[in-house]
Formats: sequence, C-alpha cells, structure tokens
Amino acid sequence: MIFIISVLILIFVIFLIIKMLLNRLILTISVRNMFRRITDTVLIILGSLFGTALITGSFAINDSFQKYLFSQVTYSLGEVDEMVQVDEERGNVKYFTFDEVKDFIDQLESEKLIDGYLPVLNSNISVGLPGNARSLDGGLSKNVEFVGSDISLFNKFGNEDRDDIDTDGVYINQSLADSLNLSVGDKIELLVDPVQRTLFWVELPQLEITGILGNNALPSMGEFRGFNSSFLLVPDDVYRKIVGLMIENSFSGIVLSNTGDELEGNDLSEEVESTFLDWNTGNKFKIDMLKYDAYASIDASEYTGIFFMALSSFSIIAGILLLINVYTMLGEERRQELGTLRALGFTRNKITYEIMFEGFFYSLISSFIGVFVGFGISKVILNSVVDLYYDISSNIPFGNFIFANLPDIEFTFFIKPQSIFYGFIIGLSIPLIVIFFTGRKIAKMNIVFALRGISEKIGNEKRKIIKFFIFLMVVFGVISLVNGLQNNNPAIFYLGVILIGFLFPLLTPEKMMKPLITISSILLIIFTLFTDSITFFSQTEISELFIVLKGLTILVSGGIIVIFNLKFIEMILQKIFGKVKNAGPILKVAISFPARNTGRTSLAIAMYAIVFFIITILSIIPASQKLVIEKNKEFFFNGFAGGVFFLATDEVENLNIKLENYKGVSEITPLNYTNVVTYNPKGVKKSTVFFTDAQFEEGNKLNVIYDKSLGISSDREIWDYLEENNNTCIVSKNSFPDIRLGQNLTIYELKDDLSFIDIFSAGNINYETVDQKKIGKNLTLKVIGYIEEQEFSMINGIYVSKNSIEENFGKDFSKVHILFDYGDMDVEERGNLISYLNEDSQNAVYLSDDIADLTSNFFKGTISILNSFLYFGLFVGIIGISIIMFKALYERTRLIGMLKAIGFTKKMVFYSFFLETTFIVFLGIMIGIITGSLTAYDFFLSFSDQMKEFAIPWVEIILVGLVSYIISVISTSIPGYMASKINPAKAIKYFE
Amino acid sequence: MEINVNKLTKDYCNGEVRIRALNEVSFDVKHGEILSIFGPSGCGKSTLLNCLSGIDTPNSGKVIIDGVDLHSLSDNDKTRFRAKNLGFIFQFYNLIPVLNAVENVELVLQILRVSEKEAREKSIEILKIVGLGEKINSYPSQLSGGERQRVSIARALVHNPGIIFADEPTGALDTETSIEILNLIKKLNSTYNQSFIIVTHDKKITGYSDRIIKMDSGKIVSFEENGEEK
Repeated sequence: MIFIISVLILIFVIFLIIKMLLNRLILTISVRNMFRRITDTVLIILGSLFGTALITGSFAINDSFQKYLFSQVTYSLGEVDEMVQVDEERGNVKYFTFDEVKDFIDQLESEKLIDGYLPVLNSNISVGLPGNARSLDGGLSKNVEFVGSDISLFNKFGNEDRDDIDTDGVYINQSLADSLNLSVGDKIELLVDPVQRTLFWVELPQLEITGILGNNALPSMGEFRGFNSSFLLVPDDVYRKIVGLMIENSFSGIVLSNTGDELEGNDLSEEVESTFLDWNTGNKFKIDMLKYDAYASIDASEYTGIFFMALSSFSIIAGILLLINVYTMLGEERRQELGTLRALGFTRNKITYEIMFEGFFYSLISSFIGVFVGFGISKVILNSVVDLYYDISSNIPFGNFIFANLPDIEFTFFIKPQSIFYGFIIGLSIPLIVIFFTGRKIAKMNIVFALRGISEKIGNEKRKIIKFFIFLMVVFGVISLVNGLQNNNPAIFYLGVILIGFLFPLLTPEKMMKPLITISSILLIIFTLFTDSITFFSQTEISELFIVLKGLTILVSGGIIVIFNLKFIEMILQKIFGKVKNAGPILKVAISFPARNTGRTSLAIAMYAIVFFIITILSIIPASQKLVIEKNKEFFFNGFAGGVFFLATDEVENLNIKLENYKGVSEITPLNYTNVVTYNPKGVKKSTVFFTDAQFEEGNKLNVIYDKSLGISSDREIWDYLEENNNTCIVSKNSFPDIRLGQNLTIYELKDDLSFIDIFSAGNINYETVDQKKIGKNLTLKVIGYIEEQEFSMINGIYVSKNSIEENFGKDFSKVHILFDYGDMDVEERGNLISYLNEDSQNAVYLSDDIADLTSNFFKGTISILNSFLYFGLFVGIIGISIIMFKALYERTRLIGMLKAIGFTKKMVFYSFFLETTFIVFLGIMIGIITGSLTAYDFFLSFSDQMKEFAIPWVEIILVGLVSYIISVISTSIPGYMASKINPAKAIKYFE
Repeated sequence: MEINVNKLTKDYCNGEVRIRALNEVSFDVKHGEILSIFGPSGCGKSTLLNCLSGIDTPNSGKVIIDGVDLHSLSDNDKTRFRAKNLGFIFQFYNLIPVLNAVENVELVLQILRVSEKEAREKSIEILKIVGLGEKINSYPSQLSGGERQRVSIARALVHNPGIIFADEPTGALDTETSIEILNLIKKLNSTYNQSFIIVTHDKKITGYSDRIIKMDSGKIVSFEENGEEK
C-alpha cells in the first residue's frame, strides 16, 4: 500500500517538475515568493516538517523494534532456515533414515538452494550432576534441548566460520555449564523419560563433557530458544543408544541452511518449499519454514509502528490544519496578485501551479529536514523506552525477562532505507495534497473580486449544492440510525445520531443555524456521556469504532460550541474586563479579529485542541490506572500481601521457618498446586489446580459465589464444605468465564513441567493441539462455587481440597507457593524482607505493594513516553500561531498605523497581539482538555466496576498547558513587538 | 479591433438583495479610438469594463470583439483570447512584487509563449518608450506611483493588443503625474493605433478621449463625441 502511494506520489512529483520546466515564469514567481518573507517561509517549513518528522519517527521506532525481534530470531535459529520432519499427524512413525530424504537433499544442493544440512535427533530432557537429574529443584537439574547429530556435518553446517569440534565429543552450552556449575571432564546424568523420575531404581545414563560451546553455537531446532536455554549435543549414535532407538542411521528431522548468510538465506525459503512439495508426493514428510514464518509473523505484527503512527496522526492532523491555514492565508494574501495574473491571461491551472510550485519547495525542504528531525525524535523516544524497561526490569524480583537482555543483541536505533524513503515521500505528499486542493480552490477565484480585494461569498448555486449534499448526509444519518436500531449495532446507530445532530442545523435558515448547532452539540455531548445508561448501548457489545466515534463527537462538539460562539465569548470578556483601564479597546481589537476571521481562528484552535485532546486522555489513563491498582492490590494474591512462588517441597519448610521468624510477617500459608488441562469447545485449556487447606481457607479474602442449595450461610463456610467433600471444586471466573454452579468439570493431569511463563499465564492459553502423551489421569469435579471475575489475581485456577487430589491422582504434588502477610512495611523494610528470603537461593518473591508500584510506574513511564512523542506535535500548534500572528502583522500594518494615529500606545498594540494569541491558544487548550477529559470519562464508564476508577492529573495537565501557552506567547511576542514599533506615518501608506 | 456591445445586463446579489449593475447597455467601440466611460461611483462603469474584457460574466447580452462572441467562449478560451488581444491598466498598477519592471512586462509575452530573448528585447523596448529605460531592473517597491503605472502601461502594450482597458489609470496618482500618464496614453494610441477604453470618474481624463460614454445607475445616459453630446 505504502509502496503504491509512494509510486503515485513520485509520478506526481515528476509531473510537477516537468510542469516547472515548461512554466519557467511561474517557477520564477514561485521561487521568488519563497524569499519574499523569510520569517514566513521558515515558519511554514518548520510547521510542515513535524509531519514528516513524526512519520519518519514512527517508522524508525517500528524498524528498531523489528530489528530487535529479527535479531532474536537470528540468535535463536542461526543458520537454520527450514526443518523437514515426518508428518506424524498422518500416522507416520517419527523417525526416518537419511536415505529416504537423500534425493531431496541432492536436488536442493544441485539447485544451489542450500549450503548445509544437518540430520538430527532431538528431544527435551532433564540433566543434572550424577544423582540429581530426577530432582525438581531448578538448582540441581535443568531442562535441556538434547540433540544428536553427525558432528562432522555440524562442523560444515551453514557458511559460518566456526572452529571444528571433536566428532565423538559431548558438548553443552555455557548457560547449562553456569547453571549447574559444570566444567569439561565432569559427568552429567540424563533423565530422558519423565516416567523414570519416580522409578528411582532405574539407573540413568551418564555422559562426560568434552567441551563447552557458546550459548548459540547450536541453532534452535524448532521453538525459539530463550536467553537462558540450554542444550546438550552428542554424536547421533550416542543419542540413539541413550534413548534406546534401535533403527540405525535414523533421524527425527533434517535441518536445512539455505544458501547465503543468516538473513540472505531466508529469500530462498519459498523455492525450497516448492522443491519440497514437488518431491514429497507421498506426503510422509512435512517442512517447517522456521525462519521464514518467524520473520513473517514479525512483519505482520507491526504494532509498535502502527501505534506510534496512530499517535502521530493526531499531530499530523494538526499539521494538515496548519497547512490548510497557511496556504489559505497565502492565497488570501496574494489574491489580488493572482487575480491580476488571471486577468492578464493565466489559466486556472497555471494559478494552481503557482501555488503548487511554491508549496512543493516548502514540502521538499521540510520533508528533507523532517526526516532527520524524525531520527532525533525516535532516538529520544527509544532511549526513553530502553531506560524505562531496564529500570523496571532491574526492580522486579523475577529477572530481566521483559526486554532487551539477550546476549549480543542490543536494542538500538535502526531505520530501513525504504522507511526513510517512505517517511520522506509521505511527508512530501501530505502538504502536496493539501496544497493541490487549496491551490484549486484559490484558482477558482472571481477575478473582479480578487482585483478589488473584496472577499468572496459562496454563490447561491453553490450554496444550494452544498445544502443538497448536507441533506443527503442527513438522510444517510436517518438510514444509519434505523439500521443500527434494527441490527442492534450501537456504532451505526450512533453514527446516525451524530450525522443528524451535526448536519441538520446546517439546513436551517442562517439566523437559526448558530443557536441550533450549539444546542445540538451540547445535546450530543450529553447523549454521548449517557450512552452507557441507555439499555440499547449497555446490552450490546461495544466496538472500537463506537469508542472512536464517541471521542471524536465530544471533540468536534466542544470545538463547535466555542467556534460558533466566539462573539458571545468576546461579549463576556468585554463585560468582565471592559472596565479595566484601556482594556476595552485592546480587547475589542484583540478578539474581534479572530472572532470575525472564523475560518482561520477555528483551524488554529483545532490545532491545539486535537493535540491536547489526546494528551489529556493519555495523562488520565495512568492516573486512573494507579487508583485501580491501589484499589485491587489486595487481590493480587487472593487476599494475602505477598508470596514466594514455584518452590519445590523441600524448600518449603526452610522458608516457612524463615518467614515465621521475620518480624511483621504473618498468615504464612503454603499453597500446593499442579498443572492440569481441561477440554472445552475451543480446544484444550491449560489451568492450575490449587490444593486448599485450613490455613488458606482462613487467610484468603476471596469473594465466592456459592451454590445456595448446599445449605451454606456464608462464603467462608464454602471452604469448609470443599475440605469435607471430595470431587468438588471452586473455580476462578477469570479462568472459566462460562462456568455455572453445579456443573461438572473434568481435569486431566499434565505430566510435563510447565515453563515459568506458562505458569504465569496459566488459564489464559488455548492450545489447538496437545501431545496426548503429556496427559495423565483425569478427575471430574462438581463446581460448588466460583470466585467472581478478578482481573488482578495472579492465582487463578481451580481450588480443590488436597485430600481429593491425592486420593484420585494418587501422587504427591511437590510444587508450592507460600502466601503471607507483611503488615505496613515501608519500601526499605520490604526490600530487606526480599533480600532475607533470597539469602540462600533466588526465590520468586512477590509483594503486592511492590507490584502495585512497579505496575503504576511502568504504566506511567510508558504513557509519558507516548506523551513526549505528542509534545513534538504541539510544536505544530505553536508554529501555527506564530505564522498567524506574523501574517496578522503584515495584513494589519496599515490598520495598526491607523490605530496608533487615533491614540493606541505601543503597549496597547503589543497587548492586543498578546491577547489575541492568548484567546486562540487558551480556547484551543481548554477545548482539548475538557473534551479529552469527557472522552476519557466516557471511556472509563464502559469499564467493569473493578476497573472503574477515574482520576484527572490536573497538575500535570495544567503544567503542560501552561508551558505550551507560555511558549506560544513567547513565539508570538516577536510580531507583537514588531507591531508595537510600527511608525504610524509609514504604516498608513504601507504598500508592498 | 472593434467591439460591439449588445444589451449587456449584469446583476449582483448583496445578501438577499439583487442589484442591477448594468441594464441593457449597448454601444460600439471603433478601431483605434480612445473611449472614456465616465460616471459617478457605483454607476456600473467598472462592471461594464470587466464584462467587456471578459474578466466578469454578464447575465445577458453580448460582447462581440472582431466577430468573436466573447462570453460564448469557455473559460480557458476566454483567458487565451484575453492574453492575446487585450491589455489591462489598473488603478493600483497590480504589478507582481517579486518580479522587476522588465519581468513584469515580459510576463504577458511569456504567457503567449514568445521566446525568452524576443520577450526580453520587446519588454526593454517598450519600457524605454514609456520612459523607464533606466529602471528596467527595479522592483515595484523601488518605483514611484507614476513609474509603477508606466510599467503597468508597458505591460498592457507589449504584446500589441487590439484593445487596452484602463480602470481609473490615474486614480492613485497626483495631478502632474496623471497628466504625464494621459499624455503617454494619447501618444501611444496615435503611434500604435490601438483602441483604449478608459473607465474614470475624473472629468479631466475625458478631455483626452475621442468619445465619452456617460453612465448612471447601470445605464448609458449620453454619448459625447468631440465635445458634442449625441
């Protein structure tokens, strides 16, 4: 899409350049006009360049994130591009011999599509020092990717220079060596089959380590390898011997490295796939295009760039308004001159060219500079992002997993050449499109009116056409309204309401129009704010379109109320300040110009309002979120204030003692758990079962909705009932939103350990398929109660009595969380507690206060970064007001001379400029803040009760408004000062 | 070039009120004559000039210039006709501020795609004729009112149009300069034999005309030729 737009714009630019060469006279006029008023030219370029800067900045932010993600893929997969395996879903046996795929490999090599291949055997196993492989203690055993391969081929794999390693050796990576404290020559024990974990009499195989390789020396054979992942590489015959695989020369997959380096190889993936499909006629094999798919998924998820682009769109809209304003003013200023050219024989097209040529040069310069300013903006934003994430990461107890901590991969500024090109072209195109339409409009001037300097009004015919068009839109509004009502679509219904509300008053006679559109806008704001109380809206699912429409309606309504009543505002100000010395005439001059120049004033006000609108919303979000988090932090651990998570049973006793001895800690409650799966129509759902006991039942503050037919009188007694009745359960609504009381729920034992991340998100992941070998026994439980939807709980799942599980699954579950309370400890005391609990080993200790602080800070930091991006957009408004005031200075030179002649002092002239700026900027900022607050409020009304907290950070918003106002006033004080210095005698005769 | 004006009517709307600026005006302009359209402010003389020159469109009636029905032409054709056959002198000169004197003059020739060299030579020549040979590179802001009007006259004459329209050509000038300008127009008229249609409310100017049309309230109230009312 962007490519097509770019091509179209390029064609247009070439067309313009040809026209310039053919119309050198117009070109001369246009170029000289640029130097006519250097201040104006500089301001126009400055105003325009922010559009390009923000677009380029968005691209750069996106590219930097993408590059980081691509680096992760490259880090994980290295030279690996594809993997060919047996298609087990078609009932084939997992293993195959190399002879079966030899033809395919030969073909790829003859077509020079690959520069390496590696037949492999791979699986996930546990590894530890002799005697430790069975241990569930992460400090003693480790999950590793176990790979068997012909190491002579491994040495030749890909085109990367690598030191050859011993073809008979056993190799581990540095990560595994570090975590188990292993060295060359040490022996390690391997737990290949998880079943053998409990069969303690079976002797586990052992290997001696020949060497330690770099962490990414062996590329991943499938899933992305995390930064702490470990591998164990052995010769393929050793692998077969260890896992008991009797078929000689058999493998579970062939890894392919396409010709070229880690990045270039990806370009050949489609050809490799095509060759594979031609060869795989029997459908025994399947090909996973690992790198290609990974890159494609990153390409498809350009959320970061799109998000920043969406944010910058507000500034770009403000920029477009500025350009419309600037070029309309330019047209007005040159009207007489253009009228003369028309009279002398210039066609309308040539007049358009004159405007366009001049605009083209402004756009060209501003786009060029804008690209570099964009680099600067994105660098500032990216540095803030990295600082924030590192800051947050270093303060969380569970390591730096969030961001940017892979070895050798740095998160840095990066922009693709095509992004620079796109940023430049889009930056160029926006002003060109605006200039083209403004130029066309100017070219349609009435020559007589232009020559005489008389303002043109819309003719009766044109007025009728516009009214007919508005009438059609109102009819469309009525159709939308009816359609929305019939189809239960609030967004369509609402679209109908706003179309009628905004457009119907425009069909009424001119005298009625202003009061009617004002009343209509007020009513639309009220209606928008109360939509949540109307059954039709509250009972129907709300779409993003509806939310956007509501926000825009409030913004536009606010703008209309002010802009259509500027004279009324002037009257009020006259009433308030009129009696202050000299204020009357100053106010009259200061306000009557913008009040009568409604088009120009509206656009200037809108520039500020749009940017402040979004800044206000973005400022309200973290302030309100903070309240929500504070309000809900007691639910993080289901009523307990802190927790030590993912413990093995043998650590529990020690930690229990530590906690009991720590002053201020109370309610210490171990909570055993295991991972299970349930089936639902969408697929298999992973969940966690918690085993409740008396301590948990007493300490938790969960609000349970229970089955009244059980004869229970309080939600505390339901825990006793659960304890006494096997095969019953209480579930979290978060994990099972559709659950009903009395329903049966079958849980299936999940044999394999889950990863840290899996556990953290348990209950929220749907799996399309699941390896049936990982599924163990099942147990059907009756749901006797459910915990109301609690979006903040970190312990969601199924609550079952310990007896019930042990009786049915017949196994001792060894994973435990310990929950506890810690009273009113301050930040330092909480830090001491965490250090104390981590003295022996790194435990996953969470404290609700710390999580609340961290979440709030993270949220606030992220929003601050987004806001800082928008602050750049505010420059558009500031430059816009400067341009307007400079234009005012030139337009009113004669008038200022006259004012001075009749008694205006220098101060009075200066104050009139100062007040005019204040009037426009203040109204713009106020509309933005008020409509932004109302929109945010309306947005929060649609949240659940738990999330419904609303706070406006007044100090912060007012400060931004004040700073913006001060900069605007300072930037317009120059034309104000120049105006005050005007010599009345010369000014009255002023003629350019 | 000759002009035949037939029942020219032009209405303006001022809000809901419709004002008749020209009411069935008919007359002829002969080749090479200086015709003054004289009358008080608001009588419709400038509207008449605008309709004659094709920069405004009448509600009804015809303007035939050398057999061409001006208002039956498309906007672009009308513009081209204007560029080729008509010249304009405005009250406030209407020079392009970013172009110097010679560039302002050659502007019209360049619209007519005359070669750059020829355009420059002709422009300098005409500027010399109007007495500005020393100031060809001066910008409008560097010229006096009279000099600006001379540039404007040079611009109107440079492409040798058949008719030159002048709207209050001395309206912004002092008496002495006005007389200089009027003498210049008279001289050029006799040299190049082009028709001049001058709109004015200044009685003095009519003395330089071959014929005078007196207007009031959108109508021609009298014709004067050689000082005699006809």
